[in-house]
Amino acid sequence: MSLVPLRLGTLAVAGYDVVRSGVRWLRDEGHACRVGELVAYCNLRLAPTASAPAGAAPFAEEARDFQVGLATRVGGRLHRAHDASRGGFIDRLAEHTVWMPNHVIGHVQCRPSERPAGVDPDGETLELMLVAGRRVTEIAEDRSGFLTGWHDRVRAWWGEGEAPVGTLLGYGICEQLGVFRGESPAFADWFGAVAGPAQVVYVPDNVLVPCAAVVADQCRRTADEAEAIRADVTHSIATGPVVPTPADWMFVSALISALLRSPLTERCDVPMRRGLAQADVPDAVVLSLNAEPPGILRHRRLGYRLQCHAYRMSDAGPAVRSWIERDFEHVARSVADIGCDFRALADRVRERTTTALLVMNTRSTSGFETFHSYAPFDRPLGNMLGSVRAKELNLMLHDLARERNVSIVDNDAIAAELGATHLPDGVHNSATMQAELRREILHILRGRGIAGFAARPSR
Amino acid sequence: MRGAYAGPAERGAIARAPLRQPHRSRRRNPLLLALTLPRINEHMLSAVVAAVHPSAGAELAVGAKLVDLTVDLTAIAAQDCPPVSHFRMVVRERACLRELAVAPVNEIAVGTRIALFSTDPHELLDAEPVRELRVAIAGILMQAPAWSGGGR
Repeated sequence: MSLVPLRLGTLAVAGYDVVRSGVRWLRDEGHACRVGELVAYCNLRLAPTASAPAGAAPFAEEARDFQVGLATRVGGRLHRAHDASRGGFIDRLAEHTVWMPNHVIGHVQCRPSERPAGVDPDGETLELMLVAGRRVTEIAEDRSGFLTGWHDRVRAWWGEGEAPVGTLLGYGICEQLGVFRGESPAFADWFGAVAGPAQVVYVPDNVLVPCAAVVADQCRRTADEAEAIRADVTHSIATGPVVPTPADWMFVSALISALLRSPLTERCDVPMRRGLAQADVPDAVVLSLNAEPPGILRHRRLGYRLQCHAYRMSDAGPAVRSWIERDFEHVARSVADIGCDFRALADRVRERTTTALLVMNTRSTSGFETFHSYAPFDRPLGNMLGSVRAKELNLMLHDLARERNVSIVDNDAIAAELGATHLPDGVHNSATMQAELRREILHILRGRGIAGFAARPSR
Repeated sequence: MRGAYAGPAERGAIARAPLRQPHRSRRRNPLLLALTLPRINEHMLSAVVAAVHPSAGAELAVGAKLVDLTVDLTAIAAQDCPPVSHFRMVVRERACLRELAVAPVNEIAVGTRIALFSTDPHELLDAEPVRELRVAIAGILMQAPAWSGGGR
């Protein structure tokens, strides 16, 4: 048996010192590690040196929640270095320890024959999965774990070499949460499946529901229009008939902040092993057909579209509900209307980028229904029965796939194959189903030739 | 030797048999029927009555709308995104609605009686229902934004 040291390896950004916290372990002493398993992580900070370039620091919006996951390239028994972790704030704050490439955080005990060939013949250098979260508000601090906190965008990236980083964005409703973040630790499932250099980004639907109309507005909104919305919201709520509570202000701040961003056209700084790169706009985005409601809000004066989950609105606060009732109209949307929204979005995206559009379709049957005839229900059935509307939406998506080269992530077929117990309410899926959806997304990305998402070599 | 197989002669005999009696609900033997809230979703404990379509005394044809229900799993599902579903119950047999036990916005537990029916509009209501009314259940779409209706 031999002891393979787990070395940090190079992580350098010109003009900055990479400073780290102590190591927080994800696996126990003596744990039998698999090749590529994330065993530990620490917090990172880029501290400017005298040669730091002028201007804003790299990824300033995410600087406080910047971490690195550390994965062993060798399978075997984990032995942690006794001085890698001191606990408490020493392991939470990136303040006291400069990143040293030769630093060893522990060892893996294995047979000599189990040392891998390839990029690191000795298997001593840890593989890095870097992650960052953009806080909804900087006061939402939570350093308790790996990528913990209240974020309006989280992302992870990894890979070696100088190739551009392929970026996949998940921008749907909660059915995508487990698909994109995966089981603990966050993004580990993508990291385990994809060679990179790749980046996976997830934008949650905590306040804003990213239906096609809202996303299209985000893509085309100018700075002046954004400022007009910001000013109008502030004035309307502050001077409205209902006195706003703190809950109202917090809710509307998060909502408008999410509305005025555009995840589909954002570019991200990506610190890699040997320097800072910039990932272009996403190479692919996964949207959710389940984000398309039968009705949407449209601002009466400014015309922008808005959509929130109904269950969120009941928690929003009285002044926000009053604002919505005063300033917005409820616009019913047929399946054809939703199809038009998707076409407009696809055309808008194609004008500017080559981002591939993937859409998760919706489960079209329900295990809770017992009817045998459509006769008792008002026409058009798609406006009345959820399962009929779902079928019509799925069919519309096939038209869209032909007309606009949209790829369908066939949630409906996967649910049918796995069985109702994996998708009991039509939205909240099991871990098995999430894994299947990830495989399906990767299958589509590879079929489209999107760089960075090739499978890892078998280990 | 022939077994239990019913050959042409027997089938002919069956074909010539007298017509079956009409279903008992159509005979002059009226029945009292109940409708109680079924467990539509295995996790649900209750439902909110969103709408009651007929009035007491209405004679309901097959397919008539009965009640719309909202099933909110917020209290059961330990998550911020609670499944909130909407269902419509329609009748699958002719009956007369005799008594309504619920009204819109009532929250009712699984097993609560929703209404009492009879196959004859003049049947006395002094006996126990003999069975549940046959209904169909369909998931329906919310027709208005939930927050303008005052709840989830």
